[in-house]
Amino acid sequence: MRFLHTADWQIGMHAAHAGAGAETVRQQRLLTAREVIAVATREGAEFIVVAGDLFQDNGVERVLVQQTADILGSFAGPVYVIPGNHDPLVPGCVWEHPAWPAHANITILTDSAMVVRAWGDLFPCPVRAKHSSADPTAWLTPGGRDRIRVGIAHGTVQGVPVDEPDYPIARDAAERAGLDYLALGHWHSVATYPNRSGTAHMAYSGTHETSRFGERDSGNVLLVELTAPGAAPVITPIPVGGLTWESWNETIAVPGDLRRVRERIEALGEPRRRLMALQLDGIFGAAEAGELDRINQLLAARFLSWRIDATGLRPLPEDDAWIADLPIGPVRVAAAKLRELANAGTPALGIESSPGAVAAQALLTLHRLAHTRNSQ
Amino acid sequence: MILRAIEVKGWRCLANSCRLGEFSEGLNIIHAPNGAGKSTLFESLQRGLFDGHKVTGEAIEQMRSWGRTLAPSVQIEFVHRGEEYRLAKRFLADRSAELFRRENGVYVLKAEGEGADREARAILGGGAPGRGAARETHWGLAQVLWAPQGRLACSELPPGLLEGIRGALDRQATDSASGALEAQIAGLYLETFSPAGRLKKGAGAPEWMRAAAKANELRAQRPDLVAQMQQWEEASSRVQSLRAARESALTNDEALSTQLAAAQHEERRYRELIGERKQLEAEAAQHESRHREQHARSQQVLGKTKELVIAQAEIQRRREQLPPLERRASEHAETENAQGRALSVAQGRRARADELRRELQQATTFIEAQAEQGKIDALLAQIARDEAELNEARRVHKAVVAPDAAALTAIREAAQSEVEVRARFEASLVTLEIIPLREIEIDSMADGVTTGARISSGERWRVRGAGEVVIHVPGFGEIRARGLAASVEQLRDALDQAVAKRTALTAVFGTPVLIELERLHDQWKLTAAALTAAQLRLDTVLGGRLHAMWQAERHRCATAIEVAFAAHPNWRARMPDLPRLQSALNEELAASADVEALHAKSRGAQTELHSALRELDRGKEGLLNASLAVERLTQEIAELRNDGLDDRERAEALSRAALQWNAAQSAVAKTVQELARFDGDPSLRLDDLLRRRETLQAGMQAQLTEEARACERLEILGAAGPFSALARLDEQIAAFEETSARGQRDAEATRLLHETVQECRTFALANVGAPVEEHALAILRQVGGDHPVTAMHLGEHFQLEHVSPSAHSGRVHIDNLSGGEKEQIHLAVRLALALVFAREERQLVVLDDVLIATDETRFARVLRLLEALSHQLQIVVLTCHPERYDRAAGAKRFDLEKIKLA
Repeated sequence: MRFLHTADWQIGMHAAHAGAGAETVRQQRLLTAREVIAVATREGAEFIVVAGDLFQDNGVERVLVQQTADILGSFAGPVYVIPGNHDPLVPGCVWEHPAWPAHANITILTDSAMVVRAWGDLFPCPVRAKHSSADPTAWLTPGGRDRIRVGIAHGTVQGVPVDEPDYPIARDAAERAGLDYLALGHWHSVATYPNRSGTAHMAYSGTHETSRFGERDSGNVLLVELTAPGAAPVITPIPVGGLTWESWNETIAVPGDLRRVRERIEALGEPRRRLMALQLDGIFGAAEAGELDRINQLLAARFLSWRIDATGLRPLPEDDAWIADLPIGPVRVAAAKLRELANAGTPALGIESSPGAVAAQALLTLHRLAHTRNSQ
Repeated sequence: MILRAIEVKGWRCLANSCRLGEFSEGLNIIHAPNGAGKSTLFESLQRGLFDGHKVTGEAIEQMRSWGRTLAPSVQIEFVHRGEEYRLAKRFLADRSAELFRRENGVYVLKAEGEGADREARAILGGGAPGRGAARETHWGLAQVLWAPQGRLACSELPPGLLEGIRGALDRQATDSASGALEAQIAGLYLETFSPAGRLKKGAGAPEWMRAAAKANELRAQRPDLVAQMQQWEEASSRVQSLRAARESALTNDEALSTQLAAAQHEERRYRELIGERKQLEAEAAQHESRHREQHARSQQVLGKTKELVIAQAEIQRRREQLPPLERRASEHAETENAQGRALSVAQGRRARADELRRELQQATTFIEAQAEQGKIDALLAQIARDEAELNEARRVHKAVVAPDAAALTAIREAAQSEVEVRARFEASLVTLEIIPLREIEIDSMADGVTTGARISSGERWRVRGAGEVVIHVPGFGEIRARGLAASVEQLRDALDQAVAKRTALTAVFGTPVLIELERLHDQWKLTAAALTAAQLRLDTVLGGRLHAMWQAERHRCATAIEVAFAAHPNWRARMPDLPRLQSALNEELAASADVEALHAKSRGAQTELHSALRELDRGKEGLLNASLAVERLTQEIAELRNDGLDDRERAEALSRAALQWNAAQSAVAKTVQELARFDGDPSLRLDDLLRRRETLQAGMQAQLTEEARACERLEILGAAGPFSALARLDEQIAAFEETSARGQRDAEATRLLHETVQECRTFALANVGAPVEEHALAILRQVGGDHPVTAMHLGEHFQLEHVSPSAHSGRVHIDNLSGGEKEQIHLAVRLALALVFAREERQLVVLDDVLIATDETRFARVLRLLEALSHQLQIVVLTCHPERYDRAAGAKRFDLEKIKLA
C-alpha cells in the first residue's frame, strides 16, 4: 500500500518578503498543489494525507478554499486532511466551507478518533487552536499489530529548537503508539526520525512549495509505501516545487570577486522562476563600482524577485588613486573624508542607515559622477 | 585697475589744469611740499571715480579753488581688464560726467551722466552713496588698495567687499573642475532636496518619496484590515465560547433533569406521607375523643353523686340552724321599737326649742329695726336741711361774676402797663399853653384838626398834638410848637394795644374799673367760703356715706319690720316679750337634752335587728339553694346514666377506647418519623429546581439565538477573507517600502556627499583669511627682518585685531604695539589683500604719506618691498619726503610743484 504524504501548503500565504513576486509566489502554491495531485496519480498513491496547515490562515479568502478543495477533489482516491495550527478547527474556519462535503473523496478529520479503512486504520490528531503546549498525539495508544496503522499529526518533534513548546510531539511518538507511519506537518523541510533500529516511522514531508529564503529541503512530497503491519515504511521524497529561492551571502575580498558573482548570476537558468536575496560584504575597489551596478541591473531585469544588501561593502582603503584624480578643492577633501568615514569601524550588515554604509554609498555616488565626467 | 594719467582743474589748490601721467604700471612717486596738492590729487582721484557728478554739499563746495568760482573737474585715464578708459567729471557748475573707452586708438564715449557715474563706480566695485559725497566704505576695492593720509589701517569693510575678497581667495584656492563637480553634486542633491535641505515634496518629490508616501497611505489602511482580522478572530472565539457555553448548559440541563426527577419522586412520597399522617391523626383524634367522652361521663357520674351527698347534708344542716335565728330577730325587733318611741318624744321637745329660738331671734331683730328706723328718719331730715342750705350757698356764689386771683393779677398788670404807656404818650405830645392877658379868639390846629376857641383873659388854654401844634391868634400871629412826630405814633399804637388788652381782660366782669373789680373779687371770696361751710356740714351729717345709702338703710329696717309683722301680726298691737320667749326656750332645751343619746341607742338597736334579720335570710337562702342543688344533681345523674350501660359496661367501654386511641397514636408517630427523614418540604427544592431549569433553558435559548447571530457575523467576516486582504496590503506596503528604502539610502548618501562637500567648502571659506595672514606675515618679515611678530590674526572682516609677538605665547592687541610697528603691520595687511586681487588683475595701490613713523632702516626695506611688489601691483606713493625714495631706482617720479608750474 502506498500513499502520498504532504503538508503545509499554506495556501493564501502572506508573501511580503517576496517583494514584487508576492502574487506569483502565492499563485505558485496552487499550481504546485496540482502538481502534487499529478505526482500522487502518477505514483499510484492509494490516498493522500495532508498533515495540517493546508491554509496559511482561516481568514484566507473563500475562493482559495474552493480552489484548494477542487484541486484535492480532482484526485481519484481518498484525501485525508487534518487542521493545523495555521488553520485550526475553530468556528468560522476554512473547514466549515461547503466545498469540502461537495467532494466525496475528501475527509476532514476533525476528531481524535480512529478511522477504520480497508487498508488499515487511520489515527488523526487534528489541531484546535493556533498555539498549544499539549502533545496532539497524546491520545494515541498502542493497538493490535494485525492492521496497518497510520497517524497524521501537526506539531514540533522534540529536538527541533523552538522558543516555546508548540504542539510538542515525542521523538518516538510513532513507536509508542504502535504506528507504522506517522505523517507530520508544521515544519517546512523534509525530515525523518529513525528509531533505534534505524527505521523511520515518522517524517515531515515539508511544504510542497518553498515559502521563504533560506528554507532548506522544501518543495517536496513524500511517497510512503507500507507493505504490511510492522514493516519498515519506504519513504521517498519527490520534488514538486516550482520556484527557487536563492539566498546568497558573498564576501568580496579581492578585485574580481564582484565580477565573478555577477557571472554566476548571469549563468543562473530560469531566472523568472527564481527569487534572489543577495548580500554582499567585504571590500571593493572603486573600479568595480560598475560591477555592482551591473548586478543590480541583472537582478532587476531577469529575476522574479530580488533584493540586494551591499551595506557590508566598504571601499578599498588603499584605493585612493581616483580620489587623487579628483580636482583640487572641496570635492577632493570631501572624498577623503567620506572614505575615512566609510572605513571607520566594522560594517554593520543590514543596517543600511549606518554612517559607514551611507558614506560608502556616497563615495560610490561621487565615484560614479567623477567617472561619468571623466568619460565625457 | 591701472592708472594712466590724471588731470585736475579748479580743485582746491590746483586751480589751473594740472595733469600727471603717464604713470608707470610699477612704482610711482608723486612728491611735493606740504600743501602743494598731493592729497587734493588723491581726493580728485577717488571723487572722480566714486562720487556722482551731481553731488552737492559742504564737502563738495570745499573742493573749489580757494577764492575762485571755478567748477572743479577731473579727468582720469586708466586701464581695466585690458580696456583703456577715460573718465571726465565736472562738479558744482556745468556738472557733467563722461566715460570714454579707447577703441582703435580713439576715446569713444561709452556712457555719460549718471550712467558714467555708475560704470566708473563698478570698476572698483564701489557702492553708490545714499546722499552726499561718497565715503570710504563706498570705494569698493579702493578701500583696501588706497590708504589715505594717516589712515593706513583698513577701516571696516562692507559686506560686498568682504564677499569679493573671499570669492577671490576661493577662486584662487579652487580648481575650476572642482566647481563643475560640485555643481553636479549640488544638482544631484537638488533632485531630492530643496536648497534649504528639506526633502522635496509634491510634484518635485523623488520617486522613492512617492513610494514612501504610498506606503504610508497603504499603512493607514492597515489598522482597518487588522481590525477586521481581529474582529473575525474575536467572532470565532465568541462562537467557540458560545458553543462551549451551550455544551456546558446542556450538561447542566441533563444534570438538572436528573435532580428534578429525584426531587419529584421525593415530593410525591412526601405528599403521600403528609396525607397518611393527616388521616391517622384524624383517626387518633376520633379515638381520643371517644375515650375522653367515655372517661368524662364516668367521671361526671362519680362527681355528681358525690355532690348530691354533700347537697343533701347541707339541707339538713340548714334546717337545724333556722329556729335560733328567728328567735334572735324577734328579740331585736322589740328592743328597737322601745328605743324608737323614747327618741320620738325627745325629738318633739327639741323641735319646740328650735321654734322658740327662731321667734326670739325674730323678736330681737324686730325691736332693733324699729329703733334704727327712728334714728335714720331723724338723720334724713337733718340731711335734707343741710342740702337746702348748700344749694342756696351755691346759687349765691354762682350769681357773683368777679375775677379770680389770677385774672385780677393780669388785669392789674394790664392797667399798670396802660398807665405807663399813657404817661409816655402824654409826655411825647407837643403842648402849647397860652394865658392871654385879654380875651381873645384863637384858632388852634393839632393832629390836623383846627379848632376855634375864645379864651378869657388870664385863662389857661392848652393845645396838644403830635408833631406840631399851631395857635393862630388873629391880629397877633401864629404860635407853633414842634416835637418828634414818629415816636408819638409809636407810643399811640402801644397805648391802643394796652387799652385793648385791659378792655379784653375786664369786659366779662361788667366794669373796667380796677377798684370795682377788686370789690367783686372780695365778694366772690365770701360766697365761696359760705358754700364751703355748707358743704362741710352736709358731709358731717352724712358721716362719709351717701344720702341714698341712708335711704337704703331705712328701707332695710322697714322691710325687716314688715317681715316680722307678717310672721307675728300680733306684734302690731303688742311688742314681743323677749324675756318670756327666752324662758320658754330654756325649758324646752332642758327637756330635750338627751335626744342625741337616745338617737344613738335607737341606731344600735336597729343595727342589731338588721344583723339578725340578715342572718335569718341567709339561713333560709342556704336551705333553698341546697334543695335546688339536690334536685339538679339528681336530674343530671339521671341524664348521665341514660346511655344504656351499666357502670361495669361503661368501665369496659372506657378501657376499649383507651386501647384504640393508643394504637392510633403509634401509627401517627410512625408516619411522623418517616416524614422527619425529609430535610424540609421537598416541594421547595422541587420548585427551586424547576425554576433553575426554567432559567437554564431560557438562557440556553438566548445562547442559541446569540450563537446563531455570532455564526452569521463570523460567516460574513470570514467571507471577506480578511487575512488575504491584509496579506496583499502588507505585500504592497513592503514593495513600496523596498523602493522607498532604496531611494532613501541613495538620498542619504547624496545628502552626505553634498553636505560633506559643502562642509569642506565652508571650511575653506572660513579659512580664506589664512593666505592673507601668511602673505602679510611674509611681507612684515621682509620689512622687519627679525620682526617680533610671529603671527597675525585677522578677524572675520579681515580687520587686524591681534598679533602674536615672539616674546609672548598668547595674542596681543594691535594697539599695544608702537606706532612704527602698527604702521608696518597695517601696510603689510593692505599689501597682502592687494595681492589677493592682483592675482586676477593688476591693481592700483595708493599710499598717501603713510609711513611717517617708520625708522629709516625699516623704511629702506619697505621701499625694497614696494619695488618688489610693483611687479604685481601699480603703486602710487604721495610724499613730501622724496629723498626717502631716492633709492627706488625703478620708480617713476612726479614733481607736483614743477608740473603745476608747467
